[in-house]
Amino acid sequence: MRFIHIADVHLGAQPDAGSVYSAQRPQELWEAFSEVIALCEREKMDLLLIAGDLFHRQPLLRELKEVNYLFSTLSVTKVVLIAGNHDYIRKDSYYRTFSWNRNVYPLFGREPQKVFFRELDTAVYGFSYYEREIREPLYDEVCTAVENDMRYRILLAHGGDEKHIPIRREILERSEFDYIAMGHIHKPQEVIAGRALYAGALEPIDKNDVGPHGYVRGGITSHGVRTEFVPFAKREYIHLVLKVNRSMTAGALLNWMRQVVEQRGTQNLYKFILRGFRDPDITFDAEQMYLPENVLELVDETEAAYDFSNILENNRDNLIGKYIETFADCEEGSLEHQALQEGVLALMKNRME
Amino acid sequence: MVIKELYLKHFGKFTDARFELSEGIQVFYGENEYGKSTVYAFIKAMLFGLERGRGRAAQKDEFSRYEPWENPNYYAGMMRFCCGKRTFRLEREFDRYGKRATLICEDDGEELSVEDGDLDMLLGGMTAASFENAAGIGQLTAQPGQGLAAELKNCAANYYETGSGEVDFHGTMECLKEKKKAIGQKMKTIRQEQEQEAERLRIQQQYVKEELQKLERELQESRRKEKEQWEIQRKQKIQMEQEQMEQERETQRKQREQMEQRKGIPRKQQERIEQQRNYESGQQAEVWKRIFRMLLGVFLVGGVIGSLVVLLAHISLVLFLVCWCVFFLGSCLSVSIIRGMRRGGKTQSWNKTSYDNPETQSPQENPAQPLQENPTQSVWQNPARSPQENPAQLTQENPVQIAQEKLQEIQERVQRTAWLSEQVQSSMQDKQIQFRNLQEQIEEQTQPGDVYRRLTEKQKALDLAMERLSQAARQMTQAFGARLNRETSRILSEITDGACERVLVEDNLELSVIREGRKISVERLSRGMMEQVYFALRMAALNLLYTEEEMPVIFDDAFVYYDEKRLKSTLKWLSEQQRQVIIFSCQMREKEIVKQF
Repeated sequence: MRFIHIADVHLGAQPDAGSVYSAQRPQELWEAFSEVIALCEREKMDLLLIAGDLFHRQPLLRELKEVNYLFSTLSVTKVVLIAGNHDYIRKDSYYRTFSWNRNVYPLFGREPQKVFFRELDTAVYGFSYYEREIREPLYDEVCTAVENDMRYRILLAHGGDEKHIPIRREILERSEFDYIAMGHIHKPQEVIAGRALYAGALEPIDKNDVGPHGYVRGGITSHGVRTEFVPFAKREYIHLVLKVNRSMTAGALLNWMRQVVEQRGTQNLYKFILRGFRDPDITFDAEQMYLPENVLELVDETEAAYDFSNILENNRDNLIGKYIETFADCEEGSLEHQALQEGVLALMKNRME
Repeated sequence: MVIKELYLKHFGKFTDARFELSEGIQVFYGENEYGKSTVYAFIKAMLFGLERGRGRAAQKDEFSRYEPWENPNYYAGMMRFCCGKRTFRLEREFDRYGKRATLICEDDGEELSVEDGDLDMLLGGMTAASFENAAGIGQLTAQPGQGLAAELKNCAANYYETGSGEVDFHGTMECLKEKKKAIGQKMKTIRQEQEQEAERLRIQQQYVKEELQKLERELQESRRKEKEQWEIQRKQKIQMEQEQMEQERETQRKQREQMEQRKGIPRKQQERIEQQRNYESGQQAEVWKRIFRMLLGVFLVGGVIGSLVVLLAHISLVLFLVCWCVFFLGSCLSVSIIRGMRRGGKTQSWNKTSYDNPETQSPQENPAQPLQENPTQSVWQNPARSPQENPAQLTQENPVQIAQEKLQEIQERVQRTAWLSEQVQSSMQDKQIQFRNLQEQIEEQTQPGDVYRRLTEKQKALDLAMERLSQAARQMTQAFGARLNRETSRILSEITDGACERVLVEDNLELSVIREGRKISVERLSRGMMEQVYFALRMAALNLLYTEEEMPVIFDDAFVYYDEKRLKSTLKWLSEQQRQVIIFSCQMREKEIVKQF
């Protein structure tokens, strides 16, 4: 039995993609989804598992029709899906009334339910969100009540944080499920190696969804389950930290950023974080620079290259020394530290020679 | 810093006047009008420049005061001074057109730039104001008891404000405030952008809402129509039933006719039955009674064959039953027959009345029904109108058939309207979902983004920096205050030979002395004592503030109120200092005392 597991497609979302790509980005989510469907058809997959949040908000009827059309192009693959916290089954949701194609098996119940595929000797368990938040660890019970009526058992699960069905790893581990297809957390990761996986968002949705994104391809045989994560997303959000030194100027920084963008792909979207000690006279103000167009953000966390203990030693009797002393033993990165930075910077500028 | 030579080329009353000075105490003696104050002003002008005022004030400012009476274009001078073991030569021209300053180090001939702040550096950051406050104790022009304390208090206030003199506290605060303001501006821009986006979404939402309302109205209208059409359908059904009943009766009548003909019922009797158009079942029974009586008559008249009579009676009964069966079969068949007849174009005139029935016409004429709006209208209307338009054809229709067709049309219409309502309802659901999705988006817009959060953080950091800076400055003033107290007390004690134990410089700059355990405000002291307290304060401040370079101090008739003893100890104290002291006096006593050292 072979399957493809996707999650968090977030159709209808409008991810921030800077001035160049933002306009086309929503369409790219649809494209990625339809490419996955085409892939399922090409490879004649047995199952397509969608672990929630197919839509970013409540789906509109036409959106469901589009999705259903795509499903209808599958000649072999059967689709099992649940509703997640984003597209939860609200009172007026079309999920309640929409009539799906014959190969689509939505597990839209509030209570755990399962669907059998006798020809695959497989049962898929799951249930859907009816509210935005579910704080009860509902999967604990599902995991203990697995029946042996089919040879292979799969759970579609959505959530895993405090507000969205907390999940305990050891309970998943002890369960009889051969595979647990998880959704909600956008970063692809393994909860139990090879057995319980977050497929992650198919395409990154938020600028903090860094790293590769894609789907999980897997198969279950009598020898067990085999899974692999397949990077697939068209774009990637990349966060890069640059350690600046005293010799770094705004122009040099800009050059470096251009080079990085060139090397790592212009289709990707970047956020640069500057750290380290800069020349106190130089500022890195994103608004003053012509950033490459796929740089979404430039965060300046640099510190003016001051040796505070030295300054304190030389200014013990004056305002500068007194000021530094009020911040004795403040932690780096704290608000105090920032205030110390700002204050000393201003004081040094206003020193009377 | 030691001033070595003053050359007043043209300055006030002086022309080509040269004064040589040395280290230690220098006393210029001169009678009134000698020009002592001019020399003092010259030193100040050389060190800090002489700016010409603007407008009316210019008439009385120092520039005008010391502008040479003759040759104003030669308003200039030179000063040589020693600073950090190097000798400098400073030349200035003050006149309005050729204003310039040159500073040359005489040791190596290096030319320095006054504009670029080289002189300021040599002066250790001292400004004209602070020079006047501390280093140069000018003629005390204030009348005794009137504002003198205030004038000196102002001087003292300046020491406090600048704190250590190394950092500009106000400038720093201003710098932080500026930065905070800039960040606030950025945050405002972000908020505005978010608000614009939210507004755009709200407008979109408003459109959706309007569409929703429109659909709501459409749905109501559609529902109303549905209800109406149901009513029409119901009436049509009733009418059709009536038509059917009518036809049944007709068929019945025909059957009976046929049967009677077969039985040889007298024509008279048959005619009587024919005449009755609306007979009831009771009447029907009466007829049968008559037939029976007639049969009985036949029996009596015949009367010959008794056994045959019974047989005949039985036959008649069987016939009677057969008749009924035929009647029912006939009525059932009639519908299909009529249809066949219509196809064949056969006509029957007796149906016309049913078409004139106002009930069937009413929906057509109903003014509440908008004709052009409903697309289903035409489907229903055209065939309904046709009998009116074409009355000739009308007479040819079978009423039951027509009624049935009409019913079918109405049913189609009802279905169509119901389908339409469903469509509207579905669109409404879609719009409602859109509306709520937009609402979600608007709510998301009100949440601050990463950038905004970082700016908020930075603003907080700046606030904290300002708070801590003020706190540090307060500590500084307190610490400085304590040191100033100690230093002032020490100096006062030395020049007054321990006349009082301690000087208190308090926060609001109230000066007081502790004498014999009592605190006495400086205003209540004698004039001489008061000046001595302020002298001590000034000297203490100089010692504390300008530690890098010992600036010369200049006294312009400052010791008028000092008695011999105090003057002596004061000058003694001054002679022990590292700094150069320049004293202008109109009395000989300073000069004489200094000679003794």
